[in-house]
Amino acid sequence: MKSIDFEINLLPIISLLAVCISFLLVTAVWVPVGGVEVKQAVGQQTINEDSSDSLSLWLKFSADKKVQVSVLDSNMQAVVENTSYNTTSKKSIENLIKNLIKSHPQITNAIVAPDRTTSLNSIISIMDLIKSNNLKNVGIAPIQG
Amino acid sequence: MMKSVLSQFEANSPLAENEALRPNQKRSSVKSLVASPVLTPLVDVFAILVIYLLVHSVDPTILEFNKHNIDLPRAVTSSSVEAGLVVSILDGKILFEDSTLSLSDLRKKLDSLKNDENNNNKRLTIVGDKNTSFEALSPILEICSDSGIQEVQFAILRKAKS
Repeated sequence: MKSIDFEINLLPIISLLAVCISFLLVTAVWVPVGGVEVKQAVGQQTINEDSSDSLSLWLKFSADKKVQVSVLDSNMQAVVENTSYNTTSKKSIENLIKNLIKSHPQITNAIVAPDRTTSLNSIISIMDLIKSNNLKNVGIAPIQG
Repeated sequence: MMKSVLSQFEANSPLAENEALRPNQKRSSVKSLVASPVLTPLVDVFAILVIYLLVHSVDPTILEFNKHNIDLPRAVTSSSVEAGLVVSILDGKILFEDSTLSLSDLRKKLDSLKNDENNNNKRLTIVGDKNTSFEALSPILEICSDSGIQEVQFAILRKAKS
């Protein structure tokens, strides 16, 4: 009579599970997709302006890979004149944005005005710099004309 | 002294308990001092790990928002992407609901969705390669604005703050 008391050999199961874990760890996608919200600077869905006292931070890209930073009031008059930076010097741009927001608390929104040739990566980088300085209301100006 | 400690250890071992459950099994004349590891908890831990990795290793947003494996830009500050309309730009072509559209077709499509209350058409995600020029993006933003899309966002890959 065969004994009903038998042992399952667990070693192959452990090997199989170890292979499964290794495979899943190697093929896993750990970088999540997020979204950067953007508001329209012109058109029906325009960026909100809280009051006539509010100021806007403008970042205008040029074709020669430079970005001009300025602060404009509601009448589009320059409160702080253009300061031009190379798009690659992110640290300088970030410091300028930080200082402008600190010195002008009325800045409630920022508008990015890219050039035709500006890459999406450059736009997102600048928007990221603005949003990381607690200025969440960021708009984008379409190409004029 | 040493012998008594070892014999006591062996008497309390799972191996000895196993032997007690099977009295008919021949007991080895030489007592083994090799401990047999209990593998069942190890199997349990491995099984839980496999289930966890199966559930969490695939980000569903990747499948929904980047099914064309577009090289997305990276950003630190981002919000979570939510369900809505998705417009992809792949090699200069505009893809909407898995079909290639011209700008005028996209405008018609979004206009047709404008008054449809059943559609979740108030949020649009633009999925573009990081090297896409703004010349290709600007008309889409204008169409979104004209079509009453309230929330427009660019899909990005989240990166850690440096």
